[in-house]
Amino acid sequence: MSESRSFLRSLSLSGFRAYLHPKTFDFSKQRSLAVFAPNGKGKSSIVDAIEFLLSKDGTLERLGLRAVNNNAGVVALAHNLADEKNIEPAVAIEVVRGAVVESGKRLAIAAKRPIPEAIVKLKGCFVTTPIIRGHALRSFVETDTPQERYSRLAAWLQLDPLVEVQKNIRALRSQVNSAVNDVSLLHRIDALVAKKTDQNVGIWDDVALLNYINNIILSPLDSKLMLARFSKIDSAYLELEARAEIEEKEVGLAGLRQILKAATSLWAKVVNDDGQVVFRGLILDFEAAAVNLESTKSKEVEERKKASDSAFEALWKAAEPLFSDGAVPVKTCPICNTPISETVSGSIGEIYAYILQNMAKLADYAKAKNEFAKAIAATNDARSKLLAALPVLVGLLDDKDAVLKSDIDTYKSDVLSWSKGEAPASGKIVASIGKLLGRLNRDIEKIEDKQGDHTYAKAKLKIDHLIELQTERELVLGVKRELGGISRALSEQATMISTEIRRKVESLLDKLQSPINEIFRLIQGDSAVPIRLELPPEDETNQQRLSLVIDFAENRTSVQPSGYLSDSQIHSVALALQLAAIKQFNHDAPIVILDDIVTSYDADHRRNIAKLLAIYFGGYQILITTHDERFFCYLIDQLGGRGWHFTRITALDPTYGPRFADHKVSDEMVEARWAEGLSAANEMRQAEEEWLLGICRDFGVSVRIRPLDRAYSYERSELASALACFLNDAKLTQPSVPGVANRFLNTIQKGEIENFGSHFQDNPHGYGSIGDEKARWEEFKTFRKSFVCKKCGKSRFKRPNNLKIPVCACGTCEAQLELCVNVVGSAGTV
Amino acid sequence: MEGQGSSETVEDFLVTLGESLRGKDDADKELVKILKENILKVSPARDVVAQAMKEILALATSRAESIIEEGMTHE
Repeated sequence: MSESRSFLRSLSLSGFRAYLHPKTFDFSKQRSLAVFAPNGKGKSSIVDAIEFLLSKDGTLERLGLRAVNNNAGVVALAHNLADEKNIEPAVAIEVVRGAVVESGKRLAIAAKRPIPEAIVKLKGCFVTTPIIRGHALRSFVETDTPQERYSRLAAWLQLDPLVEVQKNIRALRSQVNSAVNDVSLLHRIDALVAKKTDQNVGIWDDVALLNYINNIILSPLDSKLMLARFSKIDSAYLELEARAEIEEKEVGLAGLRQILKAATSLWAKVVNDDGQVVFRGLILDFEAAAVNLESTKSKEVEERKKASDSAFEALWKAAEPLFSDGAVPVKTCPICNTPISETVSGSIGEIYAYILQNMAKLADYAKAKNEFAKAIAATNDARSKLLAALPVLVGLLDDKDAVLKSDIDTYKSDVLSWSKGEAPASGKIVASIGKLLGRLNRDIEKIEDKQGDHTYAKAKLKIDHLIELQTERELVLGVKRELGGISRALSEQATMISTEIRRKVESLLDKLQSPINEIFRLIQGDSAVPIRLELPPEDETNQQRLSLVIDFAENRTSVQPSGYLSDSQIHSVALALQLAAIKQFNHDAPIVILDDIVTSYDADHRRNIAKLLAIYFGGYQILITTHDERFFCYLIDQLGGRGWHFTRITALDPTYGPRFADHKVSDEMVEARWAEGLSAANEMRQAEEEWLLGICRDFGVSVRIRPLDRAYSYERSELASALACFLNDAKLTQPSVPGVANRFLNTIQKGEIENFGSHFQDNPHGYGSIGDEKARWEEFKTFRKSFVCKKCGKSRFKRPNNLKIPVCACGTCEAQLELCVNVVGSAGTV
Repeated sequence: MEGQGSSETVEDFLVTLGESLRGKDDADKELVKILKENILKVSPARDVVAQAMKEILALATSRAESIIEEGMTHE
């Protein structure tokens, strides 16, 4: 049966987090990896790389998308020297499924960091996140509230959209309830009622208002005219309407108001709601439209000029995807085949920036063109309306306004003949209309004064205002009533939604209870009390807010687990929960990624976790990083030789990245540095340390037990002393080398060249040169060459316990080590 | 993205949930439509609650206006 599950085949980091120079982890032969390193040496960057690859937005949870609050933003994804060294920050991955290998690369810079297809497919295999971070385990049980715990559980199981649904429903219910209980609109209507009734009626009251209308408004006109209800079809209202119309005609008000309306449509001076005097009307609308037309026209001309270089819109659009983020890099220009490096821009990034710049110019031009087209339409519209309104006023005016009529006709001709530029002058006609309006208002006022307050028209106007308020109030009450019904329906539907979500999550928890307890027992021992995961019922005030309660004892239901659990138990609960979810649900990609999960465990528990991984996750691909050397050793004990690769980060080189114990510095690497005119001091130091460590291990030299604060590393001088002592005890004397003072072991032992990165001189604060480095390197190689089997020429030795002198480890000659005399310049290679 | 280790995705779950709400005889169908189109989404809009509230207010207003209009017709 062919393998249907997906595994990581390789993971490559370059310019990403702690890794400046490219580093590839090859999982093709050994599927699982354990990395030991002290804190701050770059081990978590490996897990970061996978989190970054799988993330929706191409970031890390702790970095966020932007630098805000405690987030560093995506800029922190890239190594700080990546740009300077021209290294593209990226993470690449190969995923294998059966015989099929798919690869993908995700850039860690640029605004768009699209997720490659291979990662999308891999992500689709995970029901729950395969990454477990030690720092998240503690807070899950110890400090998270039950609600936060539920949210985090949902996120682990990729059910966070359901948490979002519940959160949004809560917010929506709250807003609907607020709207149901909101009385501000009713208060506003009450205030208007009080104002319209001259404070006779303070708040809305149908009876009081009808009494006010009948007794105060209508009675002085006709005591028999009485409204029975607030309605424009009430018989008394219809009678009032008819009488008001007759009255207006009798006194000439209707004609005056008609002229007033026609004139104010052209120009008027009014006071707005804020108490400010404003001018409005069709004449001003047309003038404003003409001004805007000129402005947009100028802008269009300006943008057209700017965009003239960008005329090849179709070309830019076609070229953009070829150079955008995530596109397969092209080596030559797709049109003229010029190598990218030889183009004017010189690089894909520069070409892409150039394309974007031109596309932006085109976009600005398109926008200006659109605005200009809108301005033309608006001007035409305003002009048409104005031309239609001018004759209306002329038709209503009599002969005493002959001058105004003539002015309007002249103005109309100007508007008709206008085609562009400033609108025809309107000062004269506006002044005439202003005078006309003043006269009309005075005439209306005079008639109204003669009529007094009690006219049918005024009575109708007052009643109309109150009926309008009543209509508005009915609508407000109706909306509140309907919202009340919707709120109840929403409550029922929210309960149903919550019930279904609860059912889904509970079914998950049911599936997890057994494996969680199994894993918890494996870590904590057979006496571990079983864990219960529960979603307590929601109460009315806490609807759609599920919470996850972790409980160990019947009588501890209200106590936070941190109140009675040890640190180790707290970790174990959260670890068991996440491991159980991976075991239970991630069948299509059995991968576990553990970042520093051991912080609060004693030796037994550490051993148990290593054992758990060996037994419970036997067929899984596991990537572990840890700063705990004992845990690392237990992992080697429990899992060594079963498809695992164990490695250590020995140092973090700020100009390179993490240095791994299995990373060897070759002679070629040292010489390549000099060929570039660069110092090889760091490389030489590492090469010497690697050699010393290897030879000391092969010889089985005696080394002091390391101090606790440096538990993970050997001092160079310590190794040099141990090797020197060993050679003395074994009576193996280093032969003197002509021309070389054989300073290698001696100088290291004495600590004379401990400041190795900068010089090789006796003066500890002097500056060295490449020449000094070369001299020193020859010394080292000469010394190294003396440790070669005289019989077979191999350089690996071993020393079984019963032997005092190491023997050749080639497996055939088993010749005893004899230190050889070498000739300077013919030293061997690593 | 799958939930529960079954073939049902979260998106499928929400779609099924919306259909099941709509299928209830006594459900407020227009309200369900608003919930389906705004809330029951895997990637809701940032202002989803404001948008849903706006639609609910429009629904309540339209219903209230219909009732008022109906009352006036009967008069």
